[in-house]
Amino acid sequence: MTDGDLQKPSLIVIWTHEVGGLSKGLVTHLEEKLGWVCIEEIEPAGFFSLSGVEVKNDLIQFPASRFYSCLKENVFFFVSHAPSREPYQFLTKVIDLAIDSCGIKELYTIGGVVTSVTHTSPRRVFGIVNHAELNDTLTQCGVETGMDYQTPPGGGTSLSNYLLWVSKTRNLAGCTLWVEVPFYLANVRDPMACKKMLEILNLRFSMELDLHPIDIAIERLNTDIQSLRAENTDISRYIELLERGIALSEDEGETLSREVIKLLYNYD
Amino acid sequence: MGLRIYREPDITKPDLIAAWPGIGNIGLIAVDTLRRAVGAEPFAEIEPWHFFYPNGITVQNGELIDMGFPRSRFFYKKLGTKDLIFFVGEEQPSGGRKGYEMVDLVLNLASMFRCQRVYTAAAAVNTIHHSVKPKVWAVPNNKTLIQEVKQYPNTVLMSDVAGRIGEGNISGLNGLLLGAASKRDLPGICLLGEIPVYVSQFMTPYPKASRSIIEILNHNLGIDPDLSRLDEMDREVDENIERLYTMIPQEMRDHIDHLKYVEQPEAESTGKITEEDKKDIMQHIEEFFKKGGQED
Repeated sequence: MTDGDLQKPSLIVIWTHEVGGLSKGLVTHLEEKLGWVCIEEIEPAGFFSLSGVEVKNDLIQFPASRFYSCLKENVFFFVSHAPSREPYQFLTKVIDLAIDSCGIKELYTIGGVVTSVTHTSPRRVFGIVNHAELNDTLTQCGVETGMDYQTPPGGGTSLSNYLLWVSKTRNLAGCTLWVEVPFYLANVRDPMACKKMLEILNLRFSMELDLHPIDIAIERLNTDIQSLRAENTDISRYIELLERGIALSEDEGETLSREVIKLLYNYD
Repeated sequence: MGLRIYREPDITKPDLIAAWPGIGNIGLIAVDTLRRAVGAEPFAEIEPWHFFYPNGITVQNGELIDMGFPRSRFFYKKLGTKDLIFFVGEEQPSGGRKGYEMVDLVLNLASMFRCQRVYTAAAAVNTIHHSVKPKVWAVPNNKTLIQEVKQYPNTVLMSDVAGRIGEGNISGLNGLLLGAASKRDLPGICLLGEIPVYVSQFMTPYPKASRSIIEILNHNLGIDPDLSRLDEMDREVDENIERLYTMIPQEMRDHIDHLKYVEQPEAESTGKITEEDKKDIMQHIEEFFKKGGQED
């Protein structure tokens, strides 16, 4: 990190709904290693339905939208549930607070993209920028950039891309980062995707994060899936097909996902 | 708009037990029964006019004396083992924002008196039979409470309920209060008493489920209050339910009666009821009540 970088704090945005348990994995690790502190919060009224609460993993959930600082690394974090109401006003508020309270000069959002890679495959990270100059920065960190994409008719876009557009209108440079997550890990934890994202953060912000605990989580997951393969020949065959780059049928994919969820559901 | 505290009770680190009306008034009956049974006294309330439209007036000699509103009151009781604050809301405000403002006020009072824990109570609609003792679904707002909840008698976590994988929704303020409490690092548990899906359509209170909730609270608080009034209400309601039950077509009743044996593995002659059977029953019940309770 150069002296010039110290004058340009960055904001890293993590949405709690991201696939592969990315949010929980990243937040747990970053909170422990960086010792961040909550400095600002967006109240939920007006942005989230408050007619009740959701229950997930046996626990009551409540929408939270918080800014955290860890000044040592010159980065701020914004961790939030996705708003169900007034998304444009919400994202505008995020940018306002980022610029006014944190003096942010650059914004990164982190997300997962579901693909047919396997749990042992190396993961690619793709990036979309709102200012072309950022492409070089991302490429140096191992992010694949320069893609062409047009949403098909009737399709939508993600909250991260919406935030990227809002920040573009405010002349705030930013990018969305998407790490590959195997489809059968989309609804459970994918520590390898989490590790890949942390490696990018390490490179970009010189965080020197210790990733050993994540290696342990990866090994545990691989061992458990290997046991599942040994017990269930269908599952083993499905994963083998994926390893060979052969697509599964819808039923096969659903069966694989269901068995993996049963296996990994109670992972911390 | 705020809290009106007309008495400062001498209580130490109380637990807060709160309820609003809901399906079968299960939660409200449980909490209100318990607060009456322990002899809790009123000490505060939430000023109602910001949240509710008036529900009546009192006129004397042509003069308007008073305006009635649904009440949202706090009661307290010092027990040997544990001090308690009860909150009983006669109505839930409409609109998410007003509901959030109300739970905020409840939690402000909880914070003022240094409450250690909050309980709420509500209903869990399930495919059970009305002759079966309802279980309680316990949903904490803090991970550290999960192990404790597993030890409660007659209680399940959401993940123990077939087809739920630990997920669901708790509508209304009985859930919202605990969500907002988690934001303030105040641990809490929502206790949901089961009500048979067809009984939930009868628009009747269901004190049997309220009793299951009270038993959990008694277990946690180390109390054993007199519940004879609740038991009497339960008998009356049971008679009503049996009467209404006879109005359901025989074929559907035969289906529903299989649910009696879900938790009784020794009744092997009736065969095991499968998840498909339960879905079938649910569908028939929904169709029957959509037709206004009339047979074709």
